[in-house]
Amino acid sequence: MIYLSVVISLILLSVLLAPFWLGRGGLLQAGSSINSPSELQAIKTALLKRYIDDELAFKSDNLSPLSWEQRKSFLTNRYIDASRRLDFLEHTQQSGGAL
Amino acid sequence: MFLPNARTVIRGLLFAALISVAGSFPCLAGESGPVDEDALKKAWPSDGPQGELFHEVSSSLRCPTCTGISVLESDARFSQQIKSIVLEQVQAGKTREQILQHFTERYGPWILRSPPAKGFNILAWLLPLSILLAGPPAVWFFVWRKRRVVSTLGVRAADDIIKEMQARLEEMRA
Amino acid sequence: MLADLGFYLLLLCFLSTCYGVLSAVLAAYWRHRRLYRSSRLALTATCVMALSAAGLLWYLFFHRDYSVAYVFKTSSNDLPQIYTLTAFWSSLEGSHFLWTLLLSIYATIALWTYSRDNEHIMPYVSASLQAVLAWMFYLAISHSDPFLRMFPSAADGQGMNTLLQNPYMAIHPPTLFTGYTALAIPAAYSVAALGYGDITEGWLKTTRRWTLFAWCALTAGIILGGHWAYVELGWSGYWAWDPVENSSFIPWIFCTALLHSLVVQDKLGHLKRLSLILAFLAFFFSFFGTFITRSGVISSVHSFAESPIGPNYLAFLASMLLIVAVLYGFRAPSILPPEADKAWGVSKESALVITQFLLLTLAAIVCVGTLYPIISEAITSERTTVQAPYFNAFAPWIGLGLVMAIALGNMMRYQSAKIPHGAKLMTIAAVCAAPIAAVLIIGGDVMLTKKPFNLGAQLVGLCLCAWSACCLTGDLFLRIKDLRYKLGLFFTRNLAYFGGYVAHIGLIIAIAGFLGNYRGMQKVATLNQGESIDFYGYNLKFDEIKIAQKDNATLYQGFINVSRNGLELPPIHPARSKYPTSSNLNHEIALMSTFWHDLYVTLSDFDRDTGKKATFEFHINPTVRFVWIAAFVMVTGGLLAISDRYRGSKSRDAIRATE
Repeated sequence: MIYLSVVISLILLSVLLAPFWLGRGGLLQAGSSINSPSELQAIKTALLKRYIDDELAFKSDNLSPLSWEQRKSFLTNRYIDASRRLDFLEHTQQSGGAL
Repeated sequence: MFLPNARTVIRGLLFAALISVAGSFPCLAGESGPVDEDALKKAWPSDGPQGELFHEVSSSLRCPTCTGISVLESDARFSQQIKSIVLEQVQAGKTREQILQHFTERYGPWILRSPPAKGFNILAWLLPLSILLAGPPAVWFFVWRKRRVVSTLGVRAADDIIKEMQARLEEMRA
Repeated sequence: MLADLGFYLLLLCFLSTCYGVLSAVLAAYWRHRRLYRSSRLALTATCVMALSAAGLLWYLFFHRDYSVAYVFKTSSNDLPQIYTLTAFWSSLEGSHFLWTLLLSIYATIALWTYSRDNEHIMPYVSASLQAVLAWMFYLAISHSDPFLRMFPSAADGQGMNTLLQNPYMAIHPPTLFTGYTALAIPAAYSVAALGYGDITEGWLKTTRRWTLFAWCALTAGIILGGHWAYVELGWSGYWAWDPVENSSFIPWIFCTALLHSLVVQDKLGHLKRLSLILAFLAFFFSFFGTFITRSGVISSVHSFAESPIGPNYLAFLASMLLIVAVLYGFRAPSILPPEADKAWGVSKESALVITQFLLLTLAAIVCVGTLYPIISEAITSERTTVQAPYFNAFAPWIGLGLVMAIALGNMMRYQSAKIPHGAKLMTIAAVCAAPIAAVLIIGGDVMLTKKPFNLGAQLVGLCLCAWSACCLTGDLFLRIKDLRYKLGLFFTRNLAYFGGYVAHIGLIIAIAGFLGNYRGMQKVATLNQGESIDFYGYNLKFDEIKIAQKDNATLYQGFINVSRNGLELPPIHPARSKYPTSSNLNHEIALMSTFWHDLYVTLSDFDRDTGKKATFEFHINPTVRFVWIAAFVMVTGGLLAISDRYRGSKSRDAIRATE
């Protein structure tokens, strides 16, 4: 029974630590932790570029209609989120108040 | 083990000692033991003015050993006893108020299924009433009376942002 | 030994969720993808371990291992297989564990089926869900351990609570708990939106799905519970406004209110903060209900045990409320409406606000009524009782308001004071409603009601219900007409609306069913062998009491021959049952159910020597079947609305329109 418990604990530990070696790393989608308008501007432009690229890929049949639909709504939603954040930051900077 | 919660609730009451001998859910399960010949013979009236009064009174008294239901709906021994007393008093020509008064004197307002609107207990009735009555004027006053101007702190509506996005895409495609 | 392993698994679950919270919070702060994925795996591992622990507990039950206190307490050698399965949740520790288990399952599903639109808030979701889970597991290992050992072990258990030996207890608790725990996900998304500081696109779609799912489960769970009470407790009703019932009803009300504020948010982008608050409160009150019923604060039929977990619950609830309130205080100012000025005026969104008001008032009344005895005793030290008569004094008025609001609100349009074809629609609805109301009134024998108030309430109620249903149907017709009768297009684009239509019709059927409570009839009679009585057109002739054996129970069955208007009907057998592990006699009711009413018979008492004489209680319960039908209709409506793929992302629709 002791052995079984140790084995279970070790399996748990290896499962928890696995993502640090396996799979894709990097950063999660941008959040409101971004507080610089220039970075948000860059994100917006990057999103538009990705949109155009994917649109071309779709038109040249490298992207299925379904995944193009998904890409499109995802990129649009990200664009809206980034714009809202940017609007908010620009407004607070104009009115001189920091939140 | 599964002592009924009713025990803690009515601790200190007249019949607490009796209840502790009763089973887990006396209100629902009834009790075993020798059959009560009296209870067998007695059937509650269901018609006529006396029947109506009996129903009305016994449905506004709580079953002491159960939660949630009245003595009318319960066949626990205590409820049966209370029902017998109610029936006697109904037959003696007492009014609803007199009978309820009789039980309130013996067991306190606890025996009534809804708190009497007297003293502190009036709060229980005023609270919901005041929400119901004051609510609509409050909604009218705070929400509808005027055009509400909220600062969106410069954030545009999603539709405007999409328009901007379409325009910029057109620009980039060109 | 296996019990120790089960406990060890629960301990690991606790540690794993603690790690999950920590890693998710850090992942949110650093936006560290690997850390977040580790947190999600912590939750997944917890779910797997909790499932294994549940499997172990079931194994212990089926092997009758009475060295485990919980198994000893809730089962016995004579228990049939099916109830050995349900003994799992028949008392505090097990039902608590079931709650935790279901929460870990739904939380895991929520984290793995996330939408990419929500990726940036997922760490917050993961952190909030696992924080709740960590606390539940802490409680499981400290105060309500289902694997607690007992020395010396016994040869036979004490047996399951005999009232719970009913098939409905196999599905009612899991369904209801599914509703409670699924509410955790909208609440977690709310906390996530607050933590992130904005409601981003895609939030609504996910929250809406989970809220609808929770709503369906709660609706089904509550009505199944009512059905259990109706057939098992023998007092001829399905709803007693008992604290346990109330504490399942309050989250349902909040969940319903949340659905309606999500609709406004979807269409207009308003009421965002209200949605956040309602989503949190719905989950908070499902917890709060567990607290007041499980901690012994209020006694109730359903609170099967008292335990030292009360103060723990209180501390947890208070800290949960405090944390979210502080978070809300700091972050709510950045949750913004889409437009700077908004005229509410007379419009559909205003009607929805009225609905919110009615629903929240109902929740407040139920809450006040449930808590009043505690408050009053604490302040005046005099015990009071708040039971059905109190709630019944208010609930019908709210119901009346809701029926009106359903009819008018559905016919209205957003941002418009005019109801399209309003006068015409309402008149035609009134004309169509007249025959329906007449059928309901004549078929249900409403005119037999003696008290003028009860009669008036039913007449007004039934007419309004019929009118409201006709208005809804008229509006449905108008919408189909707007699409030039293209039903295919209607069902792809407006499935959510259609689901709402079905659910509202369901609620109206339910209210029509509740009105039957105003005209219930009962009769108590002591009958000798061969004697018969006449009751509401039925002729009931008592034969004798026979003793029968069913599974582990001994039944004392009364044999009654029934005929109605000269027509012979199958005999009924109201009975009392005696289980080996309990000295009580349970009711086994006899039910003869028709569309318009139920004949409900219980055996009150009988001559135990000869079995030739018995006292019965006969009840006529009108339109009870309406309520069961309504539950089915409402859940169907909810499921239709979930399966709508079109709704939820305004921007996507806007893009389609521009292309």
